[in-house]
Parts: sequence; structure tokens; C-alpha cells
Amino acid sequence: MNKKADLFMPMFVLTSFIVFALLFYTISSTNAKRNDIIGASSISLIKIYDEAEKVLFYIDESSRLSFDSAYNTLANNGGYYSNDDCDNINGYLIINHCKSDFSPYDNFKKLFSDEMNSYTKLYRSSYSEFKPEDITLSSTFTFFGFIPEEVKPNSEFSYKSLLEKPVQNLQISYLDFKDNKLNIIYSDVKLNVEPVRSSALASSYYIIHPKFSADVDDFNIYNNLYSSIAVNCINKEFEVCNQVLSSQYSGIKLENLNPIVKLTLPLKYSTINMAFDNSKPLKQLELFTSS
Amino acid sequence: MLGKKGADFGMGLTMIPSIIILIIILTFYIFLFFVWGFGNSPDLIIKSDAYSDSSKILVLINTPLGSSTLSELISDNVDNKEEIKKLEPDITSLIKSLPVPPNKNAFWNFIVSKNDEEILAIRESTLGASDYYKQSINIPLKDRSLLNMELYLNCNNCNEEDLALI
Repeated sequence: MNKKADLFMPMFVLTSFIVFALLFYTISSTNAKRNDIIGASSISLIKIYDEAEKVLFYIDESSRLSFDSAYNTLANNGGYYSNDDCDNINGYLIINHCKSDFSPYDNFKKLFSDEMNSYTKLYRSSYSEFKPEDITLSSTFTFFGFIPEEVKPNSEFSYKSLLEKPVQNLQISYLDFKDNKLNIIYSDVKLNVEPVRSSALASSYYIIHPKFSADVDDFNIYNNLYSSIAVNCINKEFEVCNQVLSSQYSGIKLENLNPIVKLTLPLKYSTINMAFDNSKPLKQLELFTSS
Repeated sequence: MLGKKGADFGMGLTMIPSIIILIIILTFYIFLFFVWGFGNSPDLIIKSDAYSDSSKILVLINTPLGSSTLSELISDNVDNKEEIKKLEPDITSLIKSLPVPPNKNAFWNFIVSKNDEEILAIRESTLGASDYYKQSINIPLKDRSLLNMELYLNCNNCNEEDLALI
């Protein structure tokens, strides 16, 4: 028997097996390393626009709730932030028994900001992260160390939490009352586009500029009312005070509980409730802070 | 044994097993590359179900019902079951107006929940159907909790072409 020829066929079979195995490995490991998922970048962009719409909606809803609460609290407190440092009678805050200054604009801003922060801190995104389909044998190659393992960040540093943080840290950049309208501009919200495979986080982003506006009563009414009380009611007869204020403000109701006077002034969007001690002076008019 | 002049390939002990093994190897790789399609470039085109936009739920919750929007009505009355119940016919007619794949058993479902407890659910589904185009949104409530609203299409035997029509 020809021993060299005898080895030819087994060697041919073995070589074939090795060549096919190498081909198999080369194709599969190359495919596993591929990161150009067609359409993924476009989808990420569309998804971030979508997320931005939801963020704007959330901020708008939070602003609406915060505004309602802050505006009514301010009116119920007669322009003060809270009744903690003021005496009150039947829930009516006695404005000349307050330690803090009368500053309805600043108090509204503080009340609104507190309310807004309590809502934005709650924000949770409903964004669904991209989950690419596993390529055949990619986990096997990862297991044997042929391709690096993809390390997933913990929830604190997940992509979703990165979307939530700019909303949770939202600040008021500008707040103003003009022409019976409240205008608020918030800090910019920068939303990073979701990285797909090899693209780096923050390589592209989308910035939104949230705003809010609402119809309000003339905010100067607080200062005018305070001024009118100081001039026409302090150390004056109740009848004189009642007559002057009634002529100046339609719908105003005063109740004399000597020496305290309770006052209710219904406006278009709120009702101002306050009380004052007509035997005690109000703080100087110069202390008024207006927008 | 075959002739000795130039035709001796060692058709002895190793020839037949080698051919059998070669056939097995070739069959295996033919199956791998041609039947299973392993040699083809993998389908790395993103599938439509990887993404569903939230345009429909945003439009739905911003729809005015009287002087308020749907989301305002739900969030302002979230603890008032009777008021929420009153909204059901309006919401049902709204979601019935959303497009569905033609000639399919398909229904839009709308679920509102707070702390995983359902506040409002308008569900309609068929046996063996799947859910598509899931879209959800969280909105704040006065009591500092979150209200989750979810909209999805329940469709029986829907394929990508059917879904592309809506």
C-alpha cells in the first residue's frame, strides 16, 4: 500500500474542516463586532424628540399645578409666603402682625419655585431604551473573550436616569408679570441622544427651552391694596375705611372685629383674604417690593 | 483494490471513512452557510417595533373636552371615581377614532394607573392578539405622585405591512 497516498484523504478532510472552521469564526466574530445598525441613529433622534415632547408636557403640567397652588396660597395669605410668622384670625392672616416684609412678588416667586421643585424632583421618564437583537454566537465569543463584554451601567447612571436629571434640576431663569400675564422661562433642558452601540454618549444632544405663561390678575393690586389700607384704614374709623376701599375695589368685603378688620377681595382668578389691626401701623410703604 | 498505475488513491482503510467524514463536514457547512444563512450579512436594519412614537397619546391627552383637556380632567379628578367613570364614553369615542389596520381585529387600549393601581382602563382585545405601538407618559398629580397613561394597539394577526398602514 502507498502510505503517502493513504494519508492524502484524511489530511484533505482535516484541512477542509480547519478552513471551514476558520471561515466560520471570521464571519461570526466580524458580525458580532458590527455596530452599524441601519436606522438606529435616526430612530434615536426621533425618540429624543418624542421624549422632549413628554418633558415639555410634564413641565407644563407641573407649572400649571404649581401656579394654581402658589397663586391661591399667596391670595389666601394676603400676599405673604406663609402664615408661620404672622398672627391670624379665623384663618385670615393679620398683615401688620407679620415679622417678614410685605413682598408679594418675591413671595409668589418663592412659593412657585418650591412647588415646581417638588414636582420636577418626581419626574420619571417613560423612555424605552434600545435593545439590539443578539447576533448569533456573539455571547459565545464574548464568553471566550474574543469580543469585549458590554458593561451595563447601574440604574443611577443609566441612560434613562441621564434623561431624568436635567428635568429634576430644572431652575426658573426668568419670572415676570406683564399685562396681566405671568411669564416664566426655565433653564434649558439638555437631552442626550441615546448612544447606539459604539457611538459615545453626549456626542449629540437636543436642547429644549421650556416656557410657561398664565393669565393672572393685575399683580400690583397687592401693593395698591396694602397702600390703601395704610392710608385709609390705620387709625381711622371703620366706616371711613369701608367706604374708601369699597369705592376703590368692587366686590370688597370688610368685617369689623374691632380692632381687627377682615378683608375679602374677589378677583378674576383668585380671592385675596387678609386681616389687619387698624390700631397698629403697617410697615413703611418704601419696603414694598414690586415687579 | 483499484489499479496500481496512477489510480491508487489509497482506497483502503482510510478512504471510505474519510469520504464519509468529508460528506458530514460539507453537509454541516452547507446547512450552516446556505440553509441557515450564516454567511449572509446579519439583518442589522432596525425593526419598526423597536420604536413607537408617542404622538397619539400626546394628541389624545391634549384633546379638549369642554374647557379642559383630557389629561387635566383625569388628573384633577383622579380620586373621584364617579367623575372618572363619566369620562369613559368620551375617551372610548376618542380612541375609536384612532386609525387601526384595515380588515383586522384591532383595538386601541387606554390604561391610566397611579402607583400601579388602575384608575381607568378602556380595554378591548382578542384571543391570541399581540400589543403594538405601546406609548406611555407620566404626568404629575397634586398629591406628588405620578399618573401613568398608556396607549397601545391590540391586533390579531397583524404584520409589519398592516401596521405600516396606520
